[in-house]
Amino acid sequence: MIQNFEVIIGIEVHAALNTKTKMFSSSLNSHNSIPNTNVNEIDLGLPGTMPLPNKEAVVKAIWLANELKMQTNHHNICFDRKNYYYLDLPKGFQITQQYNPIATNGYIEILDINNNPKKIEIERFHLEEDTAKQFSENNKTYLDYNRCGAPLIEIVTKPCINSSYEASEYLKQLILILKHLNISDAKLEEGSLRADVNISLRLIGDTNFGTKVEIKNINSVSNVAKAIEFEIQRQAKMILSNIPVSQETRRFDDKNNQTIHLRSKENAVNYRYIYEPNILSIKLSNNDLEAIIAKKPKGLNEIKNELKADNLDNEMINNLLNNFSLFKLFEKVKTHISDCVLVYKWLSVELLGILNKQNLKLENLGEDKIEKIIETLNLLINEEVNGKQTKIIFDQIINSNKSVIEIIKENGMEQIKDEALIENIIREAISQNQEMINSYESRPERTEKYIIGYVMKQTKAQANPNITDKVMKKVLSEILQK
Amino acid sequence: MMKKNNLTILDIHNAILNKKTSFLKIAKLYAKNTKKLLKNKTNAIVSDLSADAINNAKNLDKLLKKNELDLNNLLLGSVCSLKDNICLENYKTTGGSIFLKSFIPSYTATVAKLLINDNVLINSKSNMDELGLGGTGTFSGFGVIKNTIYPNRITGGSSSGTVLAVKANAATFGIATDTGDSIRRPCSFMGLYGLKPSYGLVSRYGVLPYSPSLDHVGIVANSIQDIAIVLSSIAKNDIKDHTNINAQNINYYNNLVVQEKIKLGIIKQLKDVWNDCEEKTTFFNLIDKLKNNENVEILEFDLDLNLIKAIAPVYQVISYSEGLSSWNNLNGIIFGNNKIQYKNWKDLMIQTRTDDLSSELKKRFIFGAYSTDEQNFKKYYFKAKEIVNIFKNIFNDFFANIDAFILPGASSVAPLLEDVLNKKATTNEVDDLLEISNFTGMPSITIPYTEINNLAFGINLFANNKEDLKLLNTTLTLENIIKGIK
Repeated sequence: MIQNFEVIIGIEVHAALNTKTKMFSSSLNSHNSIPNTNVNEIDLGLPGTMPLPNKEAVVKAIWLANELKMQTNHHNICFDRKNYYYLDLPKGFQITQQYNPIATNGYIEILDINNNPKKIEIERFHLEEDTAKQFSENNKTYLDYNRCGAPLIEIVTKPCINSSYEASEYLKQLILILKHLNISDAKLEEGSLRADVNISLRLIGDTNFGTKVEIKNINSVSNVAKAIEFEIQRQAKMILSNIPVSQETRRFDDKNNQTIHLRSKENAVNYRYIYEPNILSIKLSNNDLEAIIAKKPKGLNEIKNELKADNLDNEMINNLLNNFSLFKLFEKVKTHISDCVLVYKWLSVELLGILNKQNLKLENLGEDKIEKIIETLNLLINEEVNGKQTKIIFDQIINSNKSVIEIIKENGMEQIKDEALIENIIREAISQNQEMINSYESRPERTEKYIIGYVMKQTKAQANPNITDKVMKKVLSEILQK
Repeated sequence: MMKKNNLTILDIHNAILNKKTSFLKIAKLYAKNTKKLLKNKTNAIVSDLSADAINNAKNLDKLLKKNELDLNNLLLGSVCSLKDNICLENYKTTGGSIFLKSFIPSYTATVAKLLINDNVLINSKSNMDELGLGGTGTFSGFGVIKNTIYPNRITGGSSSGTVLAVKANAATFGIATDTGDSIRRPCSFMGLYGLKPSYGLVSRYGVLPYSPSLDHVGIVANSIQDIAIVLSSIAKNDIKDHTNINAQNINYYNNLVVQEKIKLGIIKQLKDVWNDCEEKTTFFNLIDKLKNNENVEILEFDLDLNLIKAIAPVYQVISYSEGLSSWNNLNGIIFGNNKIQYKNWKDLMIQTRTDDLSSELKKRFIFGAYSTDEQNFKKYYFKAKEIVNIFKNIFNDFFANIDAFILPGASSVAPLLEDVLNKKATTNEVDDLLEISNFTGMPSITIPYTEINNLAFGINLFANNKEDLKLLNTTLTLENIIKGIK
């Protein structure tokens, strides 16, 4: 029976911007600080204080608008007050952009379940500020104002999403854009991204929308899909049993994989929107707009094309796009090393493997360690160390503060490049097994393998392979000419 | 010898230059008069800071001896009363509200910082109608202002305490705020000079709001020269106030010049909306005399009667809506009366707003809530905003041909307190005209004109937006012409 229904979904995403300071004050915008340390009189809404719009937030909003192919209201950027009383809202209003959002009418292109391109239309997005964070302990409510006044972008799609698959594809794509344009950390799990889903069902062919239900604050892409699936079943059952679907707000309970009633729409708050009188309209010229867009980080398509040009295949490209920290590291390392596929493999397989084993995070990797990794990969390319040694060096880079040279010395990985010394060992090998020379004509590889094996054994694999090869060829040709 | 009453900034400056007085003597004189206001239970003073002012004055005397003071600074040693909605770090700032009776800000308003930098001595925080919402001086949480200059009369408001302090020589000048006519109306009643500068010319950072799109920080003083001196000090760019306009650092005092000829506008409908009274006769007699003066040209302008009638409701809708929103923060969570016992946060908010806000405030907030309700905001709030824009356009056109408009400072002399308390004396459409310059942001000044039955009666001039210097020069010229006529 469910096949007879059309699912209509609209998604509202709140993304926390990663600007240096808050939306309307000079307090630091940091999610990891000790509670109530990034707070000033403006964040607390103390009487007589006034908001100052954050330029960086406006710039990032314009980048996003450009990437989502939206129209910008840059000639008239203005703010409004959404008034309501709540314990996490010190001013008693949130500064937002109700009447004139900074961007309207754009889209994100996804692939639907049949791999056909589909445009998810974005109606608008606007800048606003976050509330304080509340948490309970021992039956008491505590407030952390570090988040209060942090900049947010609220992105609203049209009701044009028709399945949980499309919803999660849209979210995945949006998250990639937000991360790669350096707009937001966009982590649903950490709350730097929050998704609200509006969903209704109607019989196929019906032109009227059904009653929509809102599911608020879903904390992962997979839970968005699960919540939608549950809601489709729930609403379909109601419609089939002739029970009217009521307009309400629900939340997703991820323990039991179901949505739960939060409040009905009849109790909706009257927000008394008024213009924010303390912020004048910001008027950017078309030239200002172009200058801002000129500084926009690379867009998703641009990144993909560059990676293709770096000889990476689709799987590699997707892996990089989906792991922002890995991508950033890749971009950094590849400026020093031209073999991008090699860089990709060593970072995504070996380095990530070491880090994962020890529960370390790539984004916490220090600059010094990154430089050591670059140094090691260069040694590898020049065959000064081999793959096996590179793994050991990577491991020690992560687990110690030693320099690459120190690691190499301590592990006896220093190569022997002394040609005379290598020649002596080669001659020793030959003298111990004359038969190998005799069979060189017929089976040269066997002879060479024997000699190199002997040299490596004698030098504990410290002989430089290039030099060994060169000297061996010289000695062999000398002997054979005689 | 120095005059006993109504010292001006220039009087003090000259006395100091001529070594006829010391900073300490001046500070003590104002301290004495401040104490007198307190002793007489006028309710004009919320915080007496004269001990601090005296200490600072002693320090100035020392610096003067060491030749370490800039004697070109005309404000040196002048004494100021701040309306109690202007924040001073570490000093109680109440806004005339019981809710804020123990609120001590951790920041100083930009306007106060600028004055302190210019070595002005701040000797009091003066009482006001609660949070600026009121025009009579009867709505402070700390009691009705008792007018000792004109007994049994109101001072007007909301800058009631500040105006009384300046008139009673408890301060050389005052810094106050004006959302409808809160500086200019009481100045008309008390025979003082009151300036509401152009919107955004003086920073509002650290000044408690009433209705931020209409709020202005302004000056109460004893002469047009004093107004110009203080304005030069406080009209500065402030990055903390986004509505601040790019002040040009004009020295309004040095540029104060009598003009050869001034062109004044008068609203034709003023005659129609003003009921006959002595004040009306007095005002139009002046206009007639000015018409006959060769240095004055008077032009009449038509203002649609419907627009005049719209002023009061537009003012109420906008100011009460913004006022409600601006004071949503009075919820007891971050600051407020911490003695309240409560079950949950909702309970705390309801109790604290019920207990600590006055009924006048509640009345105005209900009006604001009604105007911005989802059902009504198009009819009221949006409509009011549209009408404000109509006023802006109309007056911008009017000013193509004139220097300033002239109005009465108020439709009457100060009414009896008893009549105000019994709601027998209210404002009318003549008084409402003062609010046009709050809508449009145009600079507006009220100056003393005459006395009617021994009560002060002022006149008001307002000029086009950002023409503050032109307004002051036109006013100075008019004042000279009036002296000649008299």
